[in-house]
Amino acid sequence: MTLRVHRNGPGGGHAKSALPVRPARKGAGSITGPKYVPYLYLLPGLLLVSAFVLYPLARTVQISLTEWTGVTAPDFIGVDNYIEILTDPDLRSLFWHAAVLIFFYALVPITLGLLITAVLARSRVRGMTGYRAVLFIPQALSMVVVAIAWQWVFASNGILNQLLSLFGDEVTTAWLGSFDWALPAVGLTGTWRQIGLCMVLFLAGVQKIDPALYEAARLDGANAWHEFRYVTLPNLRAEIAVALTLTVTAALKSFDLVYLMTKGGPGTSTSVPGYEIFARAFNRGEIGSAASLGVTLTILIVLVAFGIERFRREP
Amino acid sequence: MRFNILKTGAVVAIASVALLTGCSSGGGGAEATGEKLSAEQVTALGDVTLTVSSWASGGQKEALERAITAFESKYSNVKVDASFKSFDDYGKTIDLTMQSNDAPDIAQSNAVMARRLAAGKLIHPLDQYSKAYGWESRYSDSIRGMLTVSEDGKTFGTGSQWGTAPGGNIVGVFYNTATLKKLGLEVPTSYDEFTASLDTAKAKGVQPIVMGNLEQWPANHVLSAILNYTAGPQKVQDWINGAGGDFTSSGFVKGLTELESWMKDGYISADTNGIKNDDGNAAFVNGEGLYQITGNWNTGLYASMGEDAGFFVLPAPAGSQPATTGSFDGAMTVSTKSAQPDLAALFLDFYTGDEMASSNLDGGFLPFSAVDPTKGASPVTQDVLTEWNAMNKSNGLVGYLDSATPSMGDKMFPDLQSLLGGQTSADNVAKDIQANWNKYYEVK
Repeated sequence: MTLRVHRNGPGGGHAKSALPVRPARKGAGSITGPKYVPYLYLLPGLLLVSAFVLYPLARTVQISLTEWTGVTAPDFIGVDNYIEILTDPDLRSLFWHAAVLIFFYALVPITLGLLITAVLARSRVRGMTGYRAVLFIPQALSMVVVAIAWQWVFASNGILNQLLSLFGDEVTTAWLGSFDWALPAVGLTGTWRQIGLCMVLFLAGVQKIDPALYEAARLDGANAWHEFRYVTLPNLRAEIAVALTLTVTAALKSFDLVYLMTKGGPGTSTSVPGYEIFARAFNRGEIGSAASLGVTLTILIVLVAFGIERFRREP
Repeated sequence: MRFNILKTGAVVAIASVALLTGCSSGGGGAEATGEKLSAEQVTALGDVTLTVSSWASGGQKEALERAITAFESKYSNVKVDASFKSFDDYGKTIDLTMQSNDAPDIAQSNAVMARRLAAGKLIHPLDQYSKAYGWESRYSDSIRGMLTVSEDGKTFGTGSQWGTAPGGNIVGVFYNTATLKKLGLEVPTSYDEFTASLDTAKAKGVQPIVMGNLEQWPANHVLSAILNYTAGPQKVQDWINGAGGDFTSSGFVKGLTELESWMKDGYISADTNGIKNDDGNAAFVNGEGLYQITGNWNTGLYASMGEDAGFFVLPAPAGSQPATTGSFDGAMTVSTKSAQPDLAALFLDFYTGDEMASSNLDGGFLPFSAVDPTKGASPVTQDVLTEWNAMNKSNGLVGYLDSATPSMGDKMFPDLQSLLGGQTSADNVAKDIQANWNKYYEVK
């Protein structure tokens, strides 16, 4: 087989001859070789993804159609597990808890992150790197450390109650044991953790914005709100989308904070789908129903991520 | 050349799929004769290695290691390799480990794991070994029942023996001796005296029962201690075993109502659902409160209180026999994949028998062969041993409520938190718990 050695890719075209040389598209024999060659380059990656993502995913879907203890042979039961998910009111409350966590994990940190960014963006701040590092510390800490520290903050004799007691009568509420407050308490811990991530993203984004834009806006008589609304916010669209994707996904798949701080309690008031999947699969040996809940959660997360991606693309 | 690349790719792809699907030929182990091995028979085996898998840690791990060393020096041609994992990791991997062809000869198990292992035929029934080595006489009826499970792994107390254990554990009332004296009280000897002492403590501003229930499970030990008297030990054990019974019947609901009223009367720490179990324990050790109702696993912690800590089984109401929650601890099973099941049984006989009893006591087990309570290292340990021996003799131990079904803990513990938090009623909790039981045992 002969190879024509001409650099004539699409968009190339430093042809020496007066005649235009078209890239050979039919048959074997172009510089790039036979058609399947590009796929060979993709093969290693494809194999890895197949082995560690696609195959397990397919197996999970398969297992989700069974009732299986993990030891004895699985019973095929069709979509019964999914019907249970759609009809069980207890499970619905878990998804509601996840929605509350989206507020604390995503909306609050992003709002606060934007607020602080807006303030910092208006002026040059000395030692910015230092601030950023400090703000990022919660993200870098081990989740176990975060959970235990905040358990103590929310304890009946913890620092939160000590602070509240300064303003009047002694407060001894054990926040994590309260059916009303445990979920917001777990949520606030998540807020504290996520806020650093959002701020670092936004601060990095703001530095890309041409200072001339702010200058021009000021010359046109824009006040602080206008600068934020018409300069900062539109230019941070991509960063906000990334922050939303990361934090909303974290809220939906949340497991670690709940597992470490409350084990889903008191009652089931802080239980979330992620924790329920774990409990079913590893505490109770209900692998089939755990898999179906996992598949449901995956679909939900993909849909939400898709929606956020749409938001990023639209002007 | 290119086709070679393709071929190689295809081979790799097929190989990785084969690897992932875990193509394995189901290699079974050797036959278990069920007979006692003599020293000569062991020598005749030549150089052999037994593998043991366990979640023991701390003192219990040292006790197992002491047994291994002693066994190896007794039978010089035998080597015993033990591997240890944390309880959490162990529980999550044991099913797969026991299905693999290099499963350990001996594996630790609790009641929940035993159900699955027995149903999957991954462990040998030990009845014949039990007869040959005389294990039967070691255990009280209640313990023997809990170590026996039906062929489908559903019902305890019937079928074959699945494991044998070096010792057990017991739930009871730990008390602060100094506080009791300060309140002008004696150690209660009847249920009424006990509840009266709760009232006295409350009236004098001492927290009667200190309990950290943030982790959800601690409250179930208080409930089970009460249930033995409101429903009766036999009924509770039958219900746990899956033999029958109904949590919505009056005795069980009465127990739930009693727990609820202890909470309402302020006998249990008001913020119990928000207090970490460790923090509750620490508060008790530091002199807060009069009682803690929990298991002997905390004895080491209370030993540091010296003369100030004591232990008794929740006293019985007039006309009832004393009974309390307690079970086996550190039970061991023999894998059906083992090449040396007879030798594995011999090791278990050695580890759980009289020879290692005092070593196991040092490790934190309560051995089934009666140990002289004065051997306890602290006053509270001596109290625990005295009560343990008495309960074993009188057959007074009743199993743990959460072993009733594989998901009972996940159902019952949050329910009890809700009951203590005033979110639900005793009747509703009983219904919820029984619904879980009915589903598992397929009772309509």
